[in-house]
Amino acid sequence: MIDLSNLPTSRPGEENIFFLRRHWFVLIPILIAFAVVLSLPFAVYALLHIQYPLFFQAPERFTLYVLGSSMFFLYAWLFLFQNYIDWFLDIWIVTNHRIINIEQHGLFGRTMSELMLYNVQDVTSEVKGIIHTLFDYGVIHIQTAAETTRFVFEDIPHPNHVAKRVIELANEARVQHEREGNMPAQTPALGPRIVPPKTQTS
Amino acid sequence: MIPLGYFLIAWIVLLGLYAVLVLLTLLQMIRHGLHTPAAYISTFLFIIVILAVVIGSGLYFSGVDWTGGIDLLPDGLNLFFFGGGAKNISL
Repeated sequence: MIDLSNLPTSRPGEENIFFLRRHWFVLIPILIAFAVVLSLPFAVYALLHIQYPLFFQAPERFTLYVLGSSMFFLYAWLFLFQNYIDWFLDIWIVTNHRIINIEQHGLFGRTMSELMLYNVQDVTSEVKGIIHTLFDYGVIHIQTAAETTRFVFEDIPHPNHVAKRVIELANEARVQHEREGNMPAQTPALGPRIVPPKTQTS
Repeated sequence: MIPLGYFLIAWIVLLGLYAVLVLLTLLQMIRHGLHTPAAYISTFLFIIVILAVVIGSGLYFSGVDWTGGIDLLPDGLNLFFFGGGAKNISL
């Protein structure tokens, strides 16, 4: 769990409801790609050894191979870790007052945006495809009255449950907002809008 | 013949560039990463693997004679790549 006091403009009494990252399954293709890339130096070694058994007889050639393959591995390892960071630093936090979206784009790009729950107009969860259905992860689109762009929670676990809870929180936040003497938000009370899971045919 | 030391210099230059990229990556992780066990463990693992590869390579390189030169392709490969092998084909 995250300490909300570290977040900007945290309110007293603000509680962390959800702390979301993309589902771990999205890391699997990256790990497979890394394993394939990692096997390349070994494949080159085996190929040369089979085709030209005398190739590594000269120790200089083996030294050159170690120089190349060690550097290749180091850069591949860095690539893997940067992808992991990209996954690790993409965070969606839902509190009882707001939704915070923190997204890492590559190594140097970072976006942080915030949305007050009483402004939420529409919440849609979407689970598409056989893998998403099996592992129960998908996308949640959150639409506000004021903004044309939607908040998107990408590849998060249990999207239907999260969407329902966000709707409940939005309704509670709207009541609270009006009770505090503010103008009522121009959004109707929300009901669940869940896109049923679909299985991919192709 | 290419002196083997040239390849070592190239390796060290690439390692220097790598060190800069690793520092930038770790800086991002420390600055924006949350102080959770997962963050510490993954960063620790990342550094340990790098150190293992660099130290392992360094130990191997310490036993290498860098004064020698190298022909990148053996004779057989030269024939293969440049078509010289066709002379040896008998019908």
